[in-house]
Amino acid sequence: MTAAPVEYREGFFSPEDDRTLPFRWMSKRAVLALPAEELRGHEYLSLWIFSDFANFSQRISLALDGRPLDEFPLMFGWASYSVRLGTPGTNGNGPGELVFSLNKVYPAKYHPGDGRELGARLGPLAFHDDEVKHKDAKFFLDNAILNDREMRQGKTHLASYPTNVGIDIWGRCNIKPHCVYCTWDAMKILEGDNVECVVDDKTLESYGPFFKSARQLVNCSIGEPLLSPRFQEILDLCQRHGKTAEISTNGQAFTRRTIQALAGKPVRLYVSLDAATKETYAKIRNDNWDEIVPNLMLLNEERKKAGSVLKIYMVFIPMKVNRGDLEAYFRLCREIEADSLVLRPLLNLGDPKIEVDRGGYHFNYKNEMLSWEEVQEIFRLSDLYAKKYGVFVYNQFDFGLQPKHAAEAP
Amino acid sequence: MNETPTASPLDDPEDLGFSGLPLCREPWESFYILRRGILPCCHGNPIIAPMTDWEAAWNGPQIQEIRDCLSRGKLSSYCLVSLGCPIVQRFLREKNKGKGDEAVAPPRRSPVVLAINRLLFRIPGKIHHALRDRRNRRKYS
Repeated sequence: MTAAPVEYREGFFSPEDDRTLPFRWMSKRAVLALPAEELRGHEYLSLWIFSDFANFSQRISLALDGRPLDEFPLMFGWASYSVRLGTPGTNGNGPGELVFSLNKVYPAKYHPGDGRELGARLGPLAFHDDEVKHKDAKFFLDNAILNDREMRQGKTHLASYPTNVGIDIWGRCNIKPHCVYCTWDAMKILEGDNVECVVDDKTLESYGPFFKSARQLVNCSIGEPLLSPRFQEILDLCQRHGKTAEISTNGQAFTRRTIQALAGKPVRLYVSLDAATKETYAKIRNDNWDEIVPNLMLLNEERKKAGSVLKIYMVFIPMKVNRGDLEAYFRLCREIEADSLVLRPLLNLGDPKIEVDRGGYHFNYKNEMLSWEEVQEIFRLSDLYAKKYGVFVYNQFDFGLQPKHAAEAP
Repeated sequence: MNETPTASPLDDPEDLGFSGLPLCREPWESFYILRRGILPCCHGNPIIAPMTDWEAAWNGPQIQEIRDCLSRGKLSSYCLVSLGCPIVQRFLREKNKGKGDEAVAPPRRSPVVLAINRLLFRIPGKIHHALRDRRNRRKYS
């Protein structure tokens, strides 16, 4: 696969980055120039496109040198598409002119104060010759359309497949004893002998349509995924198939191998620290704080060298033990240039009997849960610190709410 | 890539298409194949099938019931015990407004049920794990 050295002509705006991919907004009609030698040498063009429409009602059509190539609906958010280029155009040795046309644009009321005509976001492009990849991209889109239709029709027995698949890369952990809020013992009883079962790149491919239909593979291991001996291969597979991997890590498994495996891969890496100081960290996990921040700095440097495709999300679960670290956690996020600080709720276990003495602190799970008023205070402070330190906040307490648009903001 | 979806109103240039969606989209859009079992969403609890039954579980009776309730704007009995879910927490907060924090806790199990649970599952499970760990330690040492 070759990254496409394209020339952005009319209808494209300046480069931007939205914490997922670098992109340019395109207007309702936009024109790209593609190098003649790439057009002659490749069969397909893959493109990342972001649409703000959640019902596939925004459609795009592409024409190369006046010849229609394809027309299809766009999926909400970022998705990877593949277009057959066919026989090169009749434009001599000059670049081919690829024209994008949208049936409608992102309504101006959702981006007040921005007078541009914003259609959709065009992310990275790449030429390729892989017919299977092209067919998989078509399968992916057709399935996503069917899945959306079945959901809106209220169907319960589905002919479609999920667009997010949860996976379980590794069942063992390097933090022993386990983190104070981890329900390790109960989970390992549930897992039974499956703790030993292999989940690698071949396993994911064996999921067949469940793998092909997935836009994201979300790792939900009770274990540290970076320890998997097939970690590199799993990420390579995701990259090859235009899929994003969501991976949570405790931040204590960064080595030359894992950093190299991560840098340049389409991964949203959730780093669960929950602390900004050695003392608080010791109360939640262990005494290994000193290695973590330098490793995160190194990871940041390596991912920048590789084009910043890897995104670093720093997780903070507000609890009584760590709420005093909130502002320092924002400073830490700024220091390591994290893409986002993630506020994640402590799992409501009802009436847990989890009590642990760690780092000179008595952690009682039930007592660590903040009341809703205290959580709201965390939100208020987070808004404040987000502005002060220029750190974006991704609030997972908002799970299930519709995305906020500029027009709905106070 | 030419299929036209049936979502409506497709022609409204101002409509971003967020209306007409179920209470939660997860059991249609997501599916978790985990060592501990199959989950219909990232906040789901308990498991709905063993890991090996993932193919059948996608359209199994339990997930169909969850989808049915959500498409009718209701939380299923499964969702209501998945207390880690922020949607469930919002629902419980709204339902129990003014009753204090205790309201978001789950219904408590009776001591008899807890004792049976402990005897039948937790203690044998711990014994099984201890034996397995000892076996593995011997194997790898």
